[in-house]
Amino acid sequence: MRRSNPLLVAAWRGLMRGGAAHQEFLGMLVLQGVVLAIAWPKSSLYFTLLGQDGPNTLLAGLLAAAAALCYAALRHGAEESLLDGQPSMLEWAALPTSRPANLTLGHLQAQMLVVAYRLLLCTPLLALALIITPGGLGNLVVAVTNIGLLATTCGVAGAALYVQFGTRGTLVYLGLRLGFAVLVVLPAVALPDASIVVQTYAMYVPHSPGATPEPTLGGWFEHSGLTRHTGPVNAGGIWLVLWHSLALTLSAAWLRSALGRVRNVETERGE
Amino acid sequence: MAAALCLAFWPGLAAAAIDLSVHVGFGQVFRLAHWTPVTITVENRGANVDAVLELVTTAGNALEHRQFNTHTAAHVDLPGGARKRLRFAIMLDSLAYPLRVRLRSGSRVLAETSIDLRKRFTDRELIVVISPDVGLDYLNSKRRISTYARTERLPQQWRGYDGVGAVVVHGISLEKLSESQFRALDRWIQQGGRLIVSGRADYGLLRTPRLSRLLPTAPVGLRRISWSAILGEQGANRGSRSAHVHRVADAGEVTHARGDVPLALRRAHGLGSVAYLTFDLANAPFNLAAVTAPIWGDLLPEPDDKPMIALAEPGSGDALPGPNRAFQPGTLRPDQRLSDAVLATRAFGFPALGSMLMFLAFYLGLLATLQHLGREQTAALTGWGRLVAPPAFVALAWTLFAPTFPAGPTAIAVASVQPLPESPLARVDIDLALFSTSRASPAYSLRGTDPSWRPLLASQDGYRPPDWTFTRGNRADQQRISVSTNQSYVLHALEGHALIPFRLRAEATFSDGSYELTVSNESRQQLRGAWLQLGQDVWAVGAVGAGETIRRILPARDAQPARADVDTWQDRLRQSGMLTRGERTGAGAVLARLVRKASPRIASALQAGNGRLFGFVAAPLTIETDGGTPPIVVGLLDTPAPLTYADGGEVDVRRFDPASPGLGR
Repeated sequence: MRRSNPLLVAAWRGLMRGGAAHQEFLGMLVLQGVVLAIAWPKSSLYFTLLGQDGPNTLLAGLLAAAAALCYAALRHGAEESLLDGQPSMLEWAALPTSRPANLTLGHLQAQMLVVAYRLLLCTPLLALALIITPGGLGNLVVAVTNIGLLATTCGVAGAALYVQFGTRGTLVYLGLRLGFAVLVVLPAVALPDASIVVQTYAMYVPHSPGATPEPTLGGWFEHSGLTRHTGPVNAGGIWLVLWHSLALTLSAAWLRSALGRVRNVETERGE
Repeated sequence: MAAALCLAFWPGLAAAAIDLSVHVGFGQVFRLAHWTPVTITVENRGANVDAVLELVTTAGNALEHRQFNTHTAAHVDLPGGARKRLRFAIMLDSLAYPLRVRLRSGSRVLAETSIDLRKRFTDRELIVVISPDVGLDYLNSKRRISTYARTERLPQQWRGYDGVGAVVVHGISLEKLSESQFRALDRWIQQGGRLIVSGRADYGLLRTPRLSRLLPTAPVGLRRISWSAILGEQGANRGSRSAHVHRVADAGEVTHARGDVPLALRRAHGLGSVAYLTFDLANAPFNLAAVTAPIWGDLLPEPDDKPMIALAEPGSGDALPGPNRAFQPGTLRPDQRLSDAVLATRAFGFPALGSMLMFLAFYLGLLATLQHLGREQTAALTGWGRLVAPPAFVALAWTLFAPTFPAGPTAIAVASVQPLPESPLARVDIDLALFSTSRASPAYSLRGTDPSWRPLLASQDGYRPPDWTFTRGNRADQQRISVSTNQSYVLHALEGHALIPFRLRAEATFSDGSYELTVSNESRQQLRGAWLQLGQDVWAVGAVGAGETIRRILPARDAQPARADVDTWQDRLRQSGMLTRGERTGAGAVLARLVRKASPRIASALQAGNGRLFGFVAAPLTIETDGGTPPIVVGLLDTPAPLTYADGGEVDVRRFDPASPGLGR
């Protein structure tokens, strides 16, 4: 740990200490619990079988976790809520020895650690839902990985926004909410194949047997024999990874650029 | 070498090396909406093949997305040059689609043929004639048709005789049948079938072991009977012509005679009967319809004029005549399927919302506490605590909630064992509910019996019936059921019928205000707990081990009301030690429904005093799922028809009324 990036070390220490960021996420866990309770099957197994409609509890739990994690990651990245003892990105940038590339990498690692920790906190809720929801552990792992990737992207984008416009509080505040809409909500409307909401839904609410599946890129892969999975889940897998990778790369590049600008300002100020 | 390479790499050539010959029904005639025998001869003129022979039938309505295929399959090992004959009994209830027969190795189809069923069907009851020289076309009517079959094409499963009203044997020895064919015939008779045997002059055929075991009596010689004695006034102008009839050792139940010459004798065999015609049906004057008409009229009662059920219509609420496809499990009604009763009251199900909320509260409370305690001195400790808590709670969730929930595919089977009167056999009606809570395509392995399965079309909106595959196992009592769909949370239903060896005797005498009941369980099935129902009263009898005889004194004052609700039966099960306190297995619901279902039968003959013995037996079959939850299999004993008794008299569960509903086809 000692040789690790100092931002990662700081994030780890912050996680171990607790603090306001923890309390905030605890509140979000309560909200996820409420969603889970709402989506919990109220009728008996027998009548659920007669209704031929399995519970969507895990889907609800995953979507709630995705929303909570992404929102929390954006806020954490933009330093609306920091872990105890965690220095600000601007403080890191102000250090004479710091390099933007290292800082970006460190922040990325720190975000991944925090997101992984928060996902870990969600696991008992997801495990409860997994017991009763068809779909299997494989789908859950894919869905959780997607959520982790998107939340990390949100964290980095939040940090970039903060470093870029940190002195203008209202702009950052509004930009964060807009970022949430752009990264989470907009793809569901404009780019369904790249939307975590749509793809998780497709994973847990399969097409009815009578329905005609829509042609998708995943369908092409399936017909070509490159994949074993079916339909939209597959397509989502491909588009989702492409979209997230692009968003993460752009966010990281933006963060690095913003940090470079801050670093230049600090250097000029020092001179 | 070149030929071998061609065969290996060019499926078209390999397919050409196999011939399939298919024979449907009896004499290429089958009765629609009944189980039908299909004989398939496979000849391999190529290399060794290890393949699966598959019969595919289609039923349902494609326009409503309620069409489904049923695959009946068996493994067949075909060495080069081999010729094998395989027999199946399948349900043919649609003429709209051909019967497809194919031999495949893996996914490669080696040979395939289609049979157009429209040219071979009848909706009339079949009279199957097995004879080289008898014609019984004069028996044909609006409701009945004679057909002529060869012994090698007789079914191997008793269900294959489903559409048959009677089998007439003349001039043929039953020794020509294989062991399984004879067992099928014997079991079909015990189920309510009719065998009619006509003698020729060479009566030695009737003294062969199998026939002599079935016939009411044995022929010991021949005697002459004049035409005038047979035909009365009509035969008077025939001079001194006479015909031969058999002389019999013991007259038994004679249904027709001329003077002291018995012409037709009959004996009961289970629910069915075996008739012995002492004359030769192929010879004059007995080949004349007018001569034998009174005899046939007695031996073959006119079949019911039931409407033909075809095309597998979905259940519309009321039970359909013929094949019952009315699957109405929506409400807990008395006519509800027993497997549904078990499922509806079974302990397993979703974890309760309250338990789940308590679990969450505990988890979040612990996290909040750790957060609150996270001061400088204990920060590391609480930090690690927050890391360990989630995996610990995942394990706890799995331990607390997963065992009570059926993960993956599972099944619930209620097997009703109904002893046949005067028979060492019992009919088993199996009510099977299948479902999966995962996306895996479920498959089930069955052992113990070889039921004929029939998928039921559920009447719920949006139910899409899956394709079914029933594969014979290596042993006769092994089967595999596969469902094509991987849809979760859909309840499928099958009904199955089988026969198992089972014999139970019971006697009761009434004196001094008590019944003294003796139950002798001569079967290999343990009777886990039983009740005696006389009229509207029941007494707990208790368990009877396999091969055990018990005596019970049942005071009249201790009688309990037979018609009781589910909870009362649940309490009775607990009192009898069959359930532990708090355990809910659905057994109480099954008993309550069993009594409710039987009540109209009991009540209809209450005046005479009626009763029965019912309870739980060791399940006659075991079911295993591939990677799912162990299925529940309940074995029920239900002496199906009212047994008569009188106060101070005797109760004998062997004495059933064969005409009573509940048994037979």
